[in-house]
Amino acid sequence: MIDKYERVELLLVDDSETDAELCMRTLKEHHLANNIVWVKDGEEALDFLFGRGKFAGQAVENRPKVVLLDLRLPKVDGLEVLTQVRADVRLKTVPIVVLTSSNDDRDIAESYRRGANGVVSKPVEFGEFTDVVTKLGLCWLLVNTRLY
Amino acid sequence: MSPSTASSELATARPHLRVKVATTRIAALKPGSRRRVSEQAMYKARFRALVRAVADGGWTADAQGKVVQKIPQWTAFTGQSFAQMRGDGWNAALHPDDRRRVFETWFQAVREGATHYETEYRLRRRDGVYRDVWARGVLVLAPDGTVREWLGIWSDITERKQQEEELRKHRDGLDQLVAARTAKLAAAADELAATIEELEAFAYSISHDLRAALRAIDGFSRILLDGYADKLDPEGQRLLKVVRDSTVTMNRLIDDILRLSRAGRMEMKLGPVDMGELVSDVFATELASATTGRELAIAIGALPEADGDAALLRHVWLNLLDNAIKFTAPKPHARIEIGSTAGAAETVYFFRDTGVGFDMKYAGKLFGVFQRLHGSEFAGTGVGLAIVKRIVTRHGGRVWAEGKVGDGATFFFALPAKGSTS
Repeated sequence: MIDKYERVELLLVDDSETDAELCMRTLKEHHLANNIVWVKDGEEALDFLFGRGKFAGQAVENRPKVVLLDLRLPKVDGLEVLTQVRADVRLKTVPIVVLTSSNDDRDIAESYRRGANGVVSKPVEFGEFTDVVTKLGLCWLLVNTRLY
Repeated sequence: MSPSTASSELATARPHLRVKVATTRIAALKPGSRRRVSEQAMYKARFRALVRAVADGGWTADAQGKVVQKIPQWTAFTGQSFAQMRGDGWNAALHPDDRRRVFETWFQAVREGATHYETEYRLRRRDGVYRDVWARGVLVLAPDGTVREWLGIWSDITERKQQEEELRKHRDGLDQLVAARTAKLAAAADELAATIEELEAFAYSISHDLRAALRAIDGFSRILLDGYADKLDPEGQRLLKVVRDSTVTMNRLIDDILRLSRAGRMEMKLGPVDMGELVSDVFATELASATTGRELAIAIGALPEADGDAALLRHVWLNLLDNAIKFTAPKPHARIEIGSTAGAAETVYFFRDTGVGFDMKYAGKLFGVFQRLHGSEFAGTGVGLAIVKRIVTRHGGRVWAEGKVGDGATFFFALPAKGSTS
């Protein structure tokens, strides 16, 4: 089991299959991430990060380099995921970037307040979208120095 | 009794005058001439008349609070004979529930030498019906300062009490009515708030879900174009481009719906707004980029300060400017004129352009959401003027427009004059 998760670089939390496909396609095309885990709701995201449920066996310490987190998610929403992750001493420092369709001021403010490392609005136009995802991948997967 | 003391008595006997004459000294009358006696009789008659004028009857009691003189009006009213009412007997004519209280307050006043005594009780009329009675009395001192007697009046106040009761009922009814209406209004306000919240949720969901769908349409058609270009002929590629262009339009629509929603719900921070400065600022930041290479004359007149939310009013000017820039584009030489006329109740601001204008027949549609009077040769979704209207309306103002096809348009908005209450 442990091997399966060993090289997870990016956790993508998005309930939109098309958004997820476009995002992963872009990252792979630019060779920015090889091992991406995609989950479709907040509960699965927490299961993965805490190594429980269907992700039992995944070590909490084996954290992704970055979590791309949508806000509006089934079951447990993105803001709640942020809160629970930041409340855990082991996961407090895992980089989380909120990647959302919303550009509502309140969502942005609340995301930062709950400890997001960044907030990025998903552009609708494909060219802009791939550009944003590529830059995010470059920054968090290549440029940024991870904690461990 | 000298005339001056009589007038003092008069003042004391009329409760509504509330003259603070604590006690009255009766001048000792020397037994004298017939003239004196007749004078005395006259004073007595006048005194009785006075009592009748202010009350249903008078009363007297001695320094110990006992009835020692006949009180004819009392006897007439209650049927109590003098024998029955003398001493403390009068108390028996009161309603049994009132006797103790009246007795106690009365003798307390007597004991303490109170300067005046006032009470209300139910008094049994000779027909057995209890009537509400009001009684009042004052202490009368002898020349040596000792208590001589008590003098007072009493009146049947049943009608007055009934009227008061009626009034009270009406007032209570009114209170209830007001309370019911208030509750109804509050319920309506709650309902409205709930509806607005629903609409907000709707707008939020639009921004999220519709955008995700659009991104997919745009993204996958782009992937199709890139990855399968060799399998698509020019017409196939054109068709896909139409699909992608439509997503751009739809995205703009979504943005505009959200802008409109925000203009309606954004909290207003009211204060003095320098409209002249606001307009200069909007022109400085927005105009240059939008009108490069165009000949556009601009005249800005004096603009009085407004009471309002600066951020929202900025959007008003911004949308009007966008509008003017857009619809003057086909004209080689265009002119924009901004000014105002100040009235007592409101200040009217206007924004005139020499653009393509519009048919006054459709003036009513101009400020409607998604209403467009022009075709796709002009960009836009038809939300800009709706935003103008919403913001101005939120400020308690109004909007209208005048125009002529091919001959420019003038947009007006009026805001309540500074300091006016509306």
